Amino acid sequence: MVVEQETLDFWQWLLGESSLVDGALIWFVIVAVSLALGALVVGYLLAAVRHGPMKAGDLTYQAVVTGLRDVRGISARRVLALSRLAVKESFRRRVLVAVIVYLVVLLFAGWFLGTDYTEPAKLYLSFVLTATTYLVVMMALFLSAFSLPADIGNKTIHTVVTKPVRAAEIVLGRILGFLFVGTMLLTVMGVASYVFVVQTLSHSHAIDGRTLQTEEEPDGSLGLRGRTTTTADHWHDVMIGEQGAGRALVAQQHDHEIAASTDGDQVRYTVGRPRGMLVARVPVYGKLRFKDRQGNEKPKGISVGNEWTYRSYIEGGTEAAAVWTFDAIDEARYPDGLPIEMTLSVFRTYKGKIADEETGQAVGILGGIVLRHPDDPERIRSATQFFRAREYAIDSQFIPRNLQDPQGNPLDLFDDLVQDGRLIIEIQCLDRSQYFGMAQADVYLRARDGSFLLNYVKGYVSIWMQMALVIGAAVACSTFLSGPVAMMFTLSVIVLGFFKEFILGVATGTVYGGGPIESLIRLVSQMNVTLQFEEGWGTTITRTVDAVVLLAMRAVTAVIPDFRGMSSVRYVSDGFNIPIDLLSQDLLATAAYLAGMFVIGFFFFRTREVAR
Amino acid sequence: MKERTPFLRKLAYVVAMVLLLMPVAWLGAPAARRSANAPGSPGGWLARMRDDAGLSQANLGEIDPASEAIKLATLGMRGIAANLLWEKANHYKKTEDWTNLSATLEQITKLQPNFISVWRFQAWNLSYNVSAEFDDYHDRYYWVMRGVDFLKEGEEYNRDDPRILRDIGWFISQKIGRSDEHRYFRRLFKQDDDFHPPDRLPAQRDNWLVGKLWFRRAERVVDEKGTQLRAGGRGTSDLIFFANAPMCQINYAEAIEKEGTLDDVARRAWQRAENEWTEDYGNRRLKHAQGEIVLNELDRLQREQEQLEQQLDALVPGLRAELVAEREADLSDAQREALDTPSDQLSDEQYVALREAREWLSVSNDDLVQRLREVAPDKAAEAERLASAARRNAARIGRTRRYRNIVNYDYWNTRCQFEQTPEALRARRMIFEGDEQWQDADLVEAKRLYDQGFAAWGEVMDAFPSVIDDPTTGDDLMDVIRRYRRILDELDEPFPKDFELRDVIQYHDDKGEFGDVLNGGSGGGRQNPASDP
Repeated sequence: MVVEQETLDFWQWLLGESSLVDGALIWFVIVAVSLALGALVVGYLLAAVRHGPMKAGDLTYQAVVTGLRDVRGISARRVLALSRLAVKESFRRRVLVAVIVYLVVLLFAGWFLGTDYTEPAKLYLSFVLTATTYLVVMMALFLSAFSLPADIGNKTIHTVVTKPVRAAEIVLGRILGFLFVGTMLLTVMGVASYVFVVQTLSHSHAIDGRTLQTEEEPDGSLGLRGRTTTTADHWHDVMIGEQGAGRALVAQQHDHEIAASTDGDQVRYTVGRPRGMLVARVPVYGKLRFKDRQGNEKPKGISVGNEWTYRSYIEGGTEAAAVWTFDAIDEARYPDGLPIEMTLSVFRTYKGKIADEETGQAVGILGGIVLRHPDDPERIRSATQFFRAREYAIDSQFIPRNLQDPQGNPLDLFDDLVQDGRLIIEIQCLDRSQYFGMAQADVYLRARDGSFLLNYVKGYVSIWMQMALVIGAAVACSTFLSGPVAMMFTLSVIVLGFFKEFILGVATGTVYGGGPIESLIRLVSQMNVTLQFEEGWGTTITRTVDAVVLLAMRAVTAVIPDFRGMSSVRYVSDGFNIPIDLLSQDLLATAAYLAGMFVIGFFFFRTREVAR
Repeated sequence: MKERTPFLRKLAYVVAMVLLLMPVAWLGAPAARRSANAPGSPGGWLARMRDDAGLSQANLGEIDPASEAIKLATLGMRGIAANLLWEKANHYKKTEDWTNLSATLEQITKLQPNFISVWRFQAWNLSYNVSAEFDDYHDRYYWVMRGVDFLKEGEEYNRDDPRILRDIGWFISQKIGRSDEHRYFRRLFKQDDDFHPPDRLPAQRDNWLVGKLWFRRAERVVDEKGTQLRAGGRGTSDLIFFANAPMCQINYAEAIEKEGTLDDVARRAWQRAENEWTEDYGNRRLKHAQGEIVLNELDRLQREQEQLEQQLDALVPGLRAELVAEREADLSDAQREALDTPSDQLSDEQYVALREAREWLSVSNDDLVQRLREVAPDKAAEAERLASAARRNAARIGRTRRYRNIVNYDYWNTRCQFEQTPEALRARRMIFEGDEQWQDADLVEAKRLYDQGFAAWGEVMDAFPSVIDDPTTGDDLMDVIRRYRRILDELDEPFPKDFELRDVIQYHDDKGEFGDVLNGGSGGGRQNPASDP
């Protein structure tokens, strides 16, 4: 799985790796204080224009004091009552239609999806989670953005504000009520989509008897080789041992177990359910560094010219290597040895031997794995374990506990190589003039598998967080904007949130094309993004305006929630466990955003006449 | 009255709407297909126009409810959706996410099923670009065939589009048969039960033969429906388009020989190749910008040209010779000297002088007509007519020659002829078996077989001298000769001075490795008369 940004430990993320300044907490505080101060200053200035500076100061002070009193005096009972009201209103506004739409989408999904892909599970999971995200976000947007403005427009809000309720309770009640509705809908969608995915991907095969042939296995026994029938647009090669048990080999990310039973004189083979399709791997990542062809340490490998620079490469037949340092390796976790999984990229500068002439088996580039002691890597190391690289597939290798060093002396993995839970695993390409490409997350230890169902639920939790942010933003906007305007504003926040990385790239200049004015000029004049403008007063004006706009864009990206980053669809669809650290970080960030949106909504709502 | 006015106004509107709807209904009535129970109907004026122009969805191909549904779901923003999907497809290709790339391409084609470029571009993407990203040749083959399946799906939406049919033929024949992994791809293709229909015999599961079937389908569409291959100056020319199918047969014959089939099967394959190349393709009327060309017409056109010139000369016999003589008198001394000097003794300046002299002495038909107007004005009209016909004929000859050169018509013609001969088959078989012995390190046997092979090749070249300077055959033979030389070195035997294929070495030893052989030896001594300076 592609992991462009490493997931930090929760406390490291919150409190910083080396100091508090690096942590998220300090930035939460800075942003919150900055926004609060900014709001105070803007409020004061606006009041000063209307009422004069002295009165403005008094008004501002009163607003803060009464606001804090309101928040302190929030009653859980009243909030709950208002939440129930919001729930009833949601059902009255036929929010259940979203579920019906979703079920219809699932029903007709088969028209657009198929199973003739190399990774059908990835496709189906990606589809259902993405469809759920979009549907739920849109539902939350429309429900939340129009609720308060509709009540104010219909004057039904008066039935609420005439009761002894605080403005804060109204806003909070709405948010919590809609969250409850959204959670219920998500639960129904989650169950429906889980059943859909599992049922669609569930299949079995029969053994195609015409293809079975007896073959001698490497251990001298006689086995059967053949293939299965075609189901769900694929078939498997089959290996059946002398005892009758066997395996349908991996195709489309999964395999099947084959069991034999006798029926009189006949042997019947039963192909089991697919294995390996719906999984949640729990990877243990190490820290990657590189060695160049002379063996000198480098932070990155070399480029082979790929546009996508996620992976860098090491040269074969030289001292170049990719070196991972793993932590927390202990006997309890890996009693028999280390299960390593690799997704290496291969770059050939010449074709070389691509197949065995006799068997027709593909011949990959030769690689080697060496284990080294972290404190004395040159002297204490294992003999090289060889492998043939397989591209675009997860290659599983097992390092047994009992090893040998290059001289043939026995080594124990934990006694001789692991030090304080640390171990160095080095990978080299051994074929001259060929290259291996890798990123940090391409090699990991597969400790165990998590529960796919639990991982699926975690995926829905991440969708829930996105929904919560939309609800918070929409309710906050709806406190001072009309329904359609609040909807458009929130939609803009969502779109900006989904494209946050791109906007940040534009703001920091890492994306070609310059700022908004410059790119508009380039678009209209069809000018290439790499060409420079001619110097002159026009260019100067353009750059100045763009500099201001880009600064504003940077400020906006600091505030807008990262919707795309919050999505864990990739983890679930690629079959990797969503780290609890990542989920915790996102939950805390969501809570912080919700708190901020609540405060903003509350203060704006207090300015409305109905709330006074 | 005032109270009823709004009602009457509304009534008037309704009546107007109904009246206007009548012509709309008549114009836009849909066509109904004929079935066993219903006679069907051609529909309204618009439906008939659509049918005539072949523009209705049913005419274009399959109507896919999924495609229609997704087009409706975009709420008129199909173009924006398609743009976004193209961007996503590029992103997935960049980040090597092949599953999502495939799925995104499916969505794009659902949105734009009748936009041919989508199918062609993305199929090429899958078969040529994505496949090359994989290391395992099985995976490469999978993606090549995925591109082919993608095109076949496109063909269902766009029935009888020759471009898609041609591309399917191209991918199956060229991509599988010419890539670096062609040996493995051809084997996998033969074993691909999922691709071939159940009734296709194993011998017919050759990629070149299957590709040829698709090319033939494309040809039938062009022939039967008159579909234009070129529009707005873009597209494929007839010359190249109709050469694909016979070239597949030729490539098939070549491929099976390389794989060791050197018996009657190969002979029949070459025989069929010759028929298809010379009879089918050579006699086909090929459209071009100025009219039509038939490749086999060259001889007839040249005979016609001779006859026209003879008729022109016969108008005033000896006039041409007179003109030549006049021009000879105007030659400079240097030009005269160049004309008299043997060609192998000419200096660079003399070559230039010789060319100038020959150009000057060459009396064109127009020159003859001009002079004829002066000496026999009564025959000027006839001379003009003959010269004009000769001019047109000469242009036609020039175009025909150029077209033949473009597709190497004569070369392949000769190749098909000589490859069928028992001598050529024997030559190839001996060389093939010699290669096998070389692989098995039986050098003595390899040498014996190579000697027999070279002798057979000698017979072929005696019968078909143009083979001598054929680069393809020459390069292949040079590889064998190099192996032969290594064998001789191992066996401590000298390279034979009377080596049968000395002339092949002469023509094809680009690296000068056999200078000693050429200088010290004799024998061979064949030349391709067509390549005399």
